Amino acid sequence: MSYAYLFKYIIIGDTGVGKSCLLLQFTDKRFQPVHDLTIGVEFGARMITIDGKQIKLQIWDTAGQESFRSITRSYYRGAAGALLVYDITRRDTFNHLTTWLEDARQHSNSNMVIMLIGNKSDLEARREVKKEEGEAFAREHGLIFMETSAKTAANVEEAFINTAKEIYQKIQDGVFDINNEANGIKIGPQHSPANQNMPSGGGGGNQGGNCC
Amino acid sequence: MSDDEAFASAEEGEEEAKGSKEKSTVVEEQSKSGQAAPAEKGGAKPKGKQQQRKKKGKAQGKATAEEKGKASQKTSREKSSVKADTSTVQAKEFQPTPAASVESQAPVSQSSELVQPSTKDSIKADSVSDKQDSKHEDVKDISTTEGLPDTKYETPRGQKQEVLTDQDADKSVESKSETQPDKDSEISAKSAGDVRQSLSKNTTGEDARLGNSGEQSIPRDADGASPNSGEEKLAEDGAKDEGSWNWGWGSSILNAATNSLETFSSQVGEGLTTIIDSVESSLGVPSPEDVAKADSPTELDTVPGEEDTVTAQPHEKEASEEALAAKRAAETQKGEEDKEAEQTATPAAQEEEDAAKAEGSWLSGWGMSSISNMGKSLVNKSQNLMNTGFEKAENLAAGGLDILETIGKKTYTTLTEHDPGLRRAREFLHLRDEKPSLSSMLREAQEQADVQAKRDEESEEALKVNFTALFEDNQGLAHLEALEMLSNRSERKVQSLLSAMEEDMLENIRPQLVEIKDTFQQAFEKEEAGEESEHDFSKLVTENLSELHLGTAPDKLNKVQENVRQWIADFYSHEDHSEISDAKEVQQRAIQSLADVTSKAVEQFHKAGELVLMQKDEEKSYTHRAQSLAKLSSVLVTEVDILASKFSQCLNKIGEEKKTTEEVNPMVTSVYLEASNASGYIQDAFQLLLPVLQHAAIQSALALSL
Repeated sequence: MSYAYLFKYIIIGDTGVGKSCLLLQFTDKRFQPVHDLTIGVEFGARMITIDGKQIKLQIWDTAGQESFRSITRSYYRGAAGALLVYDITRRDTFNHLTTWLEDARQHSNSNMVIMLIGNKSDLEARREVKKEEGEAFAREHGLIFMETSAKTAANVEEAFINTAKEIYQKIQDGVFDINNEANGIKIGPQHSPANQNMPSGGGGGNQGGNCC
Repeated sequence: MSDDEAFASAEEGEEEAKGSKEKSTVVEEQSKSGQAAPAEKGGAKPKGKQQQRKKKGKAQGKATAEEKGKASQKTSREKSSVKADTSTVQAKEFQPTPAASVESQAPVSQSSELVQPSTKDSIKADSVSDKQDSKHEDVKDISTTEGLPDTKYETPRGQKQEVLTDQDADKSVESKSETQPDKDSEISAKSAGDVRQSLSKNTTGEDARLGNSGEQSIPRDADGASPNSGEEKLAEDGAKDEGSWNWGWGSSILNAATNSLETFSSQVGEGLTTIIDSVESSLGVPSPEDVAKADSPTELDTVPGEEDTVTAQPHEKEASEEALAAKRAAETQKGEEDKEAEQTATPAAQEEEDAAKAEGSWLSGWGMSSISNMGKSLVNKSQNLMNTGFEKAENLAAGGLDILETIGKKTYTTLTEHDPGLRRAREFLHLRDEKPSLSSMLREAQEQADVQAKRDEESEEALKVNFTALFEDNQGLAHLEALEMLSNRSERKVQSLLSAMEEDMLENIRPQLVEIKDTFQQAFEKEEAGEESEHDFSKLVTENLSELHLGTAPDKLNKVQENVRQWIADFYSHEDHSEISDAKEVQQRAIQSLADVTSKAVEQFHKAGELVLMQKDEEKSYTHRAQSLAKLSSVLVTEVDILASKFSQCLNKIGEEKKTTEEVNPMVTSVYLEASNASGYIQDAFQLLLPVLQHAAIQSALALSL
């Protein structure tokens, strides 16, 4: 429930590469072979522990469809981490990475940690993009790289947690200003005494006001 | 002047030493295997060195009072080093470790000095013995037999110089030429090497100086000889005339100054001698003469040139030994020699000796000498005394600091050795009564644990009934945030599109935008007038959503609402409500339900906004969509109100049944409060859609115009 930090992630990439499946695997530890088309953005959240600290990952799973691009772009802002996903069985999804990366870099803060993910690693037989190519792309653009399988859950945890570790390290290094929510990092509410004194009420009203 | 001299001699100490060695060897014609190397060295450039020395002497001769200060600084430095030597010697017995650490360099220099002098000593001793009386030989013997070599070395040095200066003063008095005394003093002060030189050249001069055993006539001889010997020097020293003038007629003033200085230095000296006395006694050297000697090098080391030491040795020893012996035996028995010796030794060694031992002895010595002699010697003395005074003061200061440092270090090491980390010391320094007992510590820990557990429990409980937390958990907050981002982006787009829009186009679209805006504003008013009558939530929601023509199904929203209603229905259907749940559970359930519904409502609005922007469906006007959304928000707010009142009824029922109205009342309040919160979120979400709808309307208008 309570957490020290909240990191905002975004998952981006072509439609059908398995973004929502990755999220579902990470948050619910299950795989859904047929997934509804994501409209705009969906959300998932999970607690992880890094360096003994509870960190809540709030993941914004964006729609991959081209028609949503203009909308999803508006969600990039304020993300601390991004999972840029392609499908190893579809080369075109790999070829579009540059566009996605440009988009992400343009609409997010420069310190955002980007993890490149080659998904569907379980479908080795249909592989079109070699792992080396993914590695080379990541190296070239300064990304972290992993091949995952949302179906088998291979590397899914690692992908999310390693990104969080990188962000956490950046916080430790003072790169991220945790007091600036535009960085996609919030400090958890667990230490605020208001929670104990207000089982309900007051705070909520304030929250409502903030949203205007 | 003596300062200058001291400086000069200090600088040239080494060179002179070599030179003197060379000369002495030449004079003595003694070839020693051990001295072969230095002799050669000296032999290679004896004249050059001499010239160098002269030049230096000249330079110093030019020096006036200002330079003196400079020189004194340097001399003081030298002295300090000398002092360091002696102090280390003392410290060796006293506090070996700290002394060594503080003055690590001192021992080295000391040792080097020790080594060097020894050879010279022998050389000089030989030369002295050759040239001089058996008396001197005795002195030499004494010096060699002495237990503390380094102190002895230094002692002679200073005293020798003094002797020389005294002599020179005498000479100058006799000659009455103002230039001469300076020269002489310079010569003498410069180095014993010069003296040596002169000695080797002019046996008379040598005799005069070395053999100034007592007769006052000898100084005159020396005076006569000195011009010869100092011929070279005469030319150089012209510059010092002025200084000499001052010395000449200012002697009376200086006398007074000397007296005061003497008292000062004697006092200081006393202090030092007492210190040294104790040290020496601890070292097992009881004789006060040694003390005096040990002391004198420190103060009188104005001429550290090692030659001086050599040449001075016989004199000094003779003087001091004899004087002491004489004093001890009987003061009346003093011969002229003794007196002279005393006189020569007076400046520093005697002062201290005498101060420490018998004042009368040196006073009597004073009385014996001629007034003029005394005046001149006083001048010299005053200089020496000034040096001595400075030196002593500095020694004292430096010594004091050293001691403080030593004490500090010792204290620290002692503490740290036995108490690593100074833990005990800290404990000791801290208040002891603060130390808690085990039982109190345990009690404290228990209390803390209880408080922590209670707090955790409370926070968990609090989170269960914290609408905001639940709203966040249901991703309602995320949707609201996303909707806000979308809204902001649309707002910017609207501004930019309108500003870039042509006038007629703007006129066409303006009514529609105003209409949408009015719809949103009226929705507020309607809601305010809305009553809490029962409604068919799912029907209304589905109806309004389909009116949007966005293809979104209100599945989630309807399902959540259904569940909530079901729970409430279940609650009412039971006769004994308390069996199902207690008030707290009902409250949690109520707030959870409100959060769920609100989250889904916000999500619905968010999705609607996204889809409005996405779909270019022109069947329904944006004004109509805005009205549908307004109705939807109204339905949602109404539903929230109904749910709140129903939950409140449940709570009240439990309160009535269990007679815990007081306990239930705040819960009812909280449920109503959260319901208003939920309504707030829903209305906020709805209002965020205004720019989105306007944006969509402009987009479609632009699309149509193309």
